[in-house]
Amino acid sequence: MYKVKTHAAANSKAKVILGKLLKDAEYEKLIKMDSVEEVTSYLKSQTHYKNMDWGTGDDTQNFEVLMKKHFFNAYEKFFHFYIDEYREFIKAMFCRYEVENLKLFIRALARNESLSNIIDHLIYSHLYSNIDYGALERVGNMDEFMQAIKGTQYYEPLSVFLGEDPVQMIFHMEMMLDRGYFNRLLESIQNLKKRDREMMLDLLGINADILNVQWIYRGRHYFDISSEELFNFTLNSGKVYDYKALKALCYMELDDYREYISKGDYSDIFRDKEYMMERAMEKHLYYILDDFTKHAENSIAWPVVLLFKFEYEIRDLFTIIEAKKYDMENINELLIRDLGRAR
Amino acid sequence: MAIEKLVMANVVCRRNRLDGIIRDLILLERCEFVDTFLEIDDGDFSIGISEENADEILDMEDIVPIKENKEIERVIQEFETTLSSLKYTPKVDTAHMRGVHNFETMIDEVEKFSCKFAVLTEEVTQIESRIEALEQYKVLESIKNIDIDLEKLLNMDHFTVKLGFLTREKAKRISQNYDNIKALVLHAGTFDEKEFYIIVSPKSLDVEMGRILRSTDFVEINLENEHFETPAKLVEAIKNEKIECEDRLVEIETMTQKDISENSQEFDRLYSMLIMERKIDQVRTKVAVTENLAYLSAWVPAEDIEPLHKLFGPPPETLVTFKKSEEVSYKIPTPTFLKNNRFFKPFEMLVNMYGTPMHNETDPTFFFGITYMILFGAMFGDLGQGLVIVLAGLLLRKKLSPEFSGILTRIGIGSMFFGFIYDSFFGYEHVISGVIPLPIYFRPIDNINLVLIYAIVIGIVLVYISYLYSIVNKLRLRDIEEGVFGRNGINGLILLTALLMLVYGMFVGDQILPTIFLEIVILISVVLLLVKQPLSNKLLGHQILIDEAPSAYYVEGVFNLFETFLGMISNTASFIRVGAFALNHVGLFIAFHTLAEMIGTTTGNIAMFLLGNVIIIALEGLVVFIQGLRLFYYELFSKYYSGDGILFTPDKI
Repeated sequence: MYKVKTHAAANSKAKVILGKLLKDAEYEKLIKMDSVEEVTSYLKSQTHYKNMDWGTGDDTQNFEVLMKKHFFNAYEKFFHFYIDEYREFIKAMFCRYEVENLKLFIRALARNESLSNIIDHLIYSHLYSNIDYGALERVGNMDEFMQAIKGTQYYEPLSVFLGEDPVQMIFHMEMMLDRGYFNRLLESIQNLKKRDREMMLDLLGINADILNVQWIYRGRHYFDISSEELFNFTLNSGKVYDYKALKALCYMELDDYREYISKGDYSDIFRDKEYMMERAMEKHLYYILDDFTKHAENSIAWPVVLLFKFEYEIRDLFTIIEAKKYDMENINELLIRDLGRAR
Repeated sequence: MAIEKLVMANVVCRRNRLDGIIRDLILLERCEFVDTFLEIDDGDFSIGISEENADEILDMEDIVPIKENKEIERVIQEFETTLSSLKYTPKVDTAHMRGVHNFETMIDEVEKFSCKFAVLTEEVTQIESRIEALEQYKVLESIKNIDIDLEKLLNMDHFTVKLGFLTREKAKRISQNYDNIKALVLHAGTFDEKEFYIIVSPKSLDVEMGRILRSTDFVEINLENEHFETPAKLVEAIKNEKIECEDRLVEIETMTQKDISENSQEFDRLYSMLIMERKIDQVRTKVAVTENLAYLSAWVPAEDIEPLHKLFGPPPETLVTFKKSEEVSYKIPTPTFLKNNRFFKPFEMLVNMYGTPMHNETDPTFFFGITYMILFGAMFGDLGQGLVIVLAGLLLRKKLSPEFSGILTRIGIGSMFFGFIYDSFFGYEHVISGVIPLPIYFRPIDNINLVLIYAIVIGIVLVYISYLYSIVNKLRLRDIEEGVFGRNGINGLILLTALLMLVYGMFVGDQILPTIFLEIVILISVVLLLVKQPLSNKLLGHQILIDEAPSAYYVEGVFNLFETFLGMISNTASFIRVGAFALNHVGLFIAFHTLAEMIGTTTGNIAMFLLGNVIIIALEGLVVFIQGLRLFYYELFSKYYSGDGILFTPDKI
């Protein structure tokens, strides 16, 4: 009974929005278009983006922010649909954007860049956040930044870096924020009802695996980080690779590592060119999403899958817009989705 | 005793006079400043177009806002640090804020004080941070049984020993990788939910180990400057030092007493001025300026126009125009300035709890105040217990908000009045009539039916009054649809009257008007309720008669009719509770009285008397308080009162 009570409304909402997301044929059409203007005017008139507030500006940067805000509205809807531990879960998912925002601030402060560019591009909602962005806007250095986030969940973990050289600390601060987000998400999932908990742990596990695979590869390849450090920074609760497997991976030589991964569940991550790794990861996730909703009527899977797909759609649309701007060929290779691939 | 009219003051002055004007207005505590740009952007900032104002108007081309002055906050913080090291809490007094002040001089004065007490401030901060550090060393308690010289341990030639904290999650990570980490990781204890670890590793691996620990967010306890021996001795030494530090702080405090008493007036004056400066700065961010002139807008009570003219001085130094609230852009909603006399002021709190009245609505506070006292009194009528509530209100004035204690005293008075009529003193009846024999006493328990009937009569009267309020409010807003034909308008009033007469005739058998006549009135009324929208639109000459699809409108109309009839009956019947609680009050005491008799002893009697009264005052008092509110919010306010307004909150210190 709780399934219907908790999820019926949110699932209907999710399905309606899922139905409105762009189809492959529409992507084909967009790719064939000649200019950015053509793409945006199509989006404005023929798709579900016609309902959003397009404002008056017409530079692509602006589109990006507007579309993200539109996407964010979807998040807010689900916030209202849920209560208690489910609302907590939605909040925890939202944390990701908050963490990204804070990272932008930290980077800009460490490099002495102006904050004014950041502020206009931030996406946030006071429904979830107790960060005072007004105060953040006014900070001039790391100490003031810490003062501004005092009272939020982020203050305590970051406070250990107070007084250290920010340039040196960026990496550790970012890691700390990411881990904070991950732990909060994990904790909120633990509180869900059994079926939802299992599904979300599964999805989170795949996410953690992919991030770990990427982390170890990059740490090895680009940064020459010691195996012990690599291991310390890996995420818990992976689906395929538990701590023993991860430990083994952290101590492998790079070539062995590639080979090992290429034989496993995440072989597709190394299949493409190296600079496409991020895309390959997203692709992997995109194509497992439908498995989650297949036999999961009235569950948390629907809204979560929707949010993933919605976000990927927006990224693909940005890719198309950017590609049109710089006149690039073979756009469909750059997309997260493979057009025409059967699911 | 109503809602006071507010006007929008638009002021243009020379920039050098701006601070003075803002200060005077803040001290007046009668102005709510509005972002001037809202006014200017709408082209509403009026300064009276005439030739002599030409400069001011032309100047508006280069208008800019004023930025917040961060310096003020810094200076205040600096001053507060100095004062807190002296353990002195400054008093803010508006008397110090009047007259001309210069922020630059304030900075100098603060600097002067900071320098004067710099050594002291420095020492206090040092001691305080030292105490904080010593607090952290408490964790060493958990290793005090180890009999080793820490100095030797920490200064080994080939090994590095580190003491510090790890999170549980990270400690686990390390233990999972023990086979690769070339270090001993010892869990030494838990302190304040943090895990205390000792880490031992070969010196040759210091760099590597440092990086690994970094990746585990290891927080090291720095013991560098401490005088070691064994942990036990160190713990002892730390304890002693902490006591010394605290003693020194006390010593400093006594030493500074003289300084404080010499300078306290100066401190208060300077601090008050700084607080004023901060407030001025907050207001300044709402002001628009050009090179020479400043433009500011504020809501002020209409009655203050004359004194304000005096304050601003004659033009051309300042130009002031006042605009009625109707002329102000809809983007700046007019706040509501409630002005009630002292007796009814506390009830504003309960009215605002439901919603602040709109600025063009009738303020219900007066009606609410009187009737709330009556309702509370009628439900909780007891001379003695009422007196307790009055006294509680008076005594708790300092602790509670003045509004709430005000409400307590007033409803207590209501309770005392009815207690006298009910002849009830701390639950005992016949006590008052024994002392003062008068023929006016009316004991609820002896007149149960009458009490319930009276309660309904009170309810009917109150419902009628609220209908009148509703009709006045709606007609003021020229809402013919609801005001004339609506269920809370004239039509509703007629319908209610006819229904009541009909019911009265049915039960009492004494017809006031012929039944057939009443039935016709009800029928007409119902039809009018159904067609209220098209009818009023027709009368007003609008093209569109119904806003939505006619079918939807009429279906909704039929359901509304149900609700109207149900509402009329239930709203009136709801007031029976007033009588029921009056009876209940007596009944509850009878219960305690019976218990007391069962105990039989004098002590038991007294105990039961006290317990009974405490429970009745606390529990039943609360219930009646809420029931009274409920009657108002639900039965009466929902009829005529929107409460969509914004409270007028003048800027003040």
